[in-house]
Amino acid sequence: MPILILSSENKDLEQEIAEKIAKKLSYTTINEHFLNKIADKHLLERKKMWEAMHSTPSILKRMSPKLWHYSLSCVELEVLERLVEDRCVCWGLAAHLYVMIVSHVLKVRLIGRNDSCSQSDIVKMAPDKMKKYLARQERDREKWSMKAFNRKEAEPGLYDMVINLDQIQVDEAVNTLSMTMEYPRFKAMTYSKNNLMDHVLAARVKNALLVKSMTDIHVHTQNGRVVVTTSSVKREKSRKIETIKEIASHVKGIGYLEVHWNKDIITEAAISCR
Amino acid sequence: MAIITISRGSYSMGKAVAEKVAEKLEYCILSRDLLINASASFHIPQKKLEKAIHDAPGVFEQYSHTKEVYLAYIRSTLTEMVAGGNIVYHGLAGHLLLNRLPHVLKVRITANLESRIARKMKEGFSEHKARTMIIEDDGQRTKWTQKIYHADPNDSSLYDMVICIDKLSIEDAVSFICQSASKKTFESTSDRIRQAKDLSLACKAKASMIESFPEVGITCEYGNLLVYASEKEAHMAKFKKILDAFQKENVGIHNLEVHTGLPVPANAV
Repeated sequence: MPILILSSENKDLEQEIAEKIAKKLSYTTINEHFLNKIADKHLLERKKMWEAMHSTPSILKRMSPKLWHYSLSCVELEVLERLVEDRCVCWGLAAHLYVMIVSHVLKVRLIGRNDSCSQSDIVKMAPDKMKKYLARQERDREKWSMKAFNRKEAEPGLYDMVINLDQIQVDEAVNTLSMTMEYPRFKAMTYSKNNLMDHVLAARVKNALLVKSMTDIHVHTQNGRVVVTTSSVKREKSRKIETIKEIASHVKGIGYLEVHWNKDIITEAAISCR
Repeated sequence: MAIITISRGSYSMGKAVAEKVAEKLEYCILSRDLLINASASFHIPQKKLEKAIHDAPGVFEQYSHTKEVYLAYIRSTLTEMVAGGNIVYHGLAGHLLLNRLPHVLKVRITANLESRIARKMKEGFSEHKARTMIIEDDGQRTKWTQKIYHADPNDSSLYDMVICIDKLSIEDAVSFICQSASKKTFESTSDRIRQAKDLSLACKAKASMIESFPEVGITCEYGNLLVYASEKEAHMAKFKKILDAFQKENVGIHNLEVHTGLPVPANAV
């Protein structure tokens, strides 16, 4: 069954549309409140988990890049595990940035109606102030999505559809999206389910490696075959490969594993200059 | 009774979508006819107009304002042609040229680069050549929009709907567009038709003045034309001559006022 992923800067509107669609199609919902469950499951602070989803790592906020990446990987893993169950409307968890090329997932961005401001914010703010506030929010969001997933959140190419709600009414958008979800091409097929399972497997491996403080890793999965790409100085090559193999071998669902190693030229040069 | 503009990158199937929408809604379809009509009305070679609306201004063109002049001619023709409604325009820059009208449904059709390249290759181009041509074309479009309208064509907020023709098919896109166009928001009410006619009149006046007075701003409401010019411009004989001739040619003008020393309003053309 299809999955709908919504993305918008206007949280109130996003929630309203998501809930209406979920109700109409009798789908389950998954949103930001799921972050608390994820934090509890992975023994992380709830506050830090919310912070990781909204801002980039910073010393001032006492959020190290390692903790930030690990928190995001936990979110990615848990959201993907949840999406495998199908018939779901997901929003507020940045899933559009890590669920790529899965045919039964419809990704939609909602824009307009004073993006990023909830109605209560709009009432309080002066127009000039609001304009600046929106611009800053947009910059921060772009910075976050680029750092986290190397993708611009506002890029229309990430979505199957972008709907501007300045002219189009909420109910019209709900009807259009509900109707689209019913199309046969959005039904979950074996191929697309396997695709999503590959995403889940990659997220499991990445999460397992990050929990052991492994850095510089990229995980790619295709048909259950996992390829981990990493880099380090030459003298650490075999130790790093062995560690990755050891950690990844305990991941649920793993079959074939390959580790690709690249030389970390910058660190190597720095060491040789000492 | 809406006006629909369909913006697209090359080989994104936007033309096919526009044709099917027009067929389904029984609307007129407009694309190249715009340049043919503009060329005939203003006696400018079609090639020059096409270049003005497609290529980004070069170094020297930025000073000569040639592109702005041609663009004013194209806009004047377009606003006149769409004023009656029931039209699908899938040529260049429709969403920007008609952005003042509330009942214009602005749609962008996108497709991923690889599928666009594959479509171009069917015309006999090598993959490398097809990729280069499409990327170059996209670059020109981006530069053009940035230079003339200070906007990014990929900015979704310029449109009411952006549809990616990869997972969604042409038929899906047609269905979404037709559904939206039939909504009340995009209905051509008598007031909106009046607004379209006012815009057309303002654009026509601008087109007649732009060559000699590029800085002039014009607004129109209920057939009342307001021309915003500097003191110096307003006292020139040529300025008065052009306006008199324009007033004589256009019977739809109720009143024409020239305002000097006032800032040009944001909604002026």
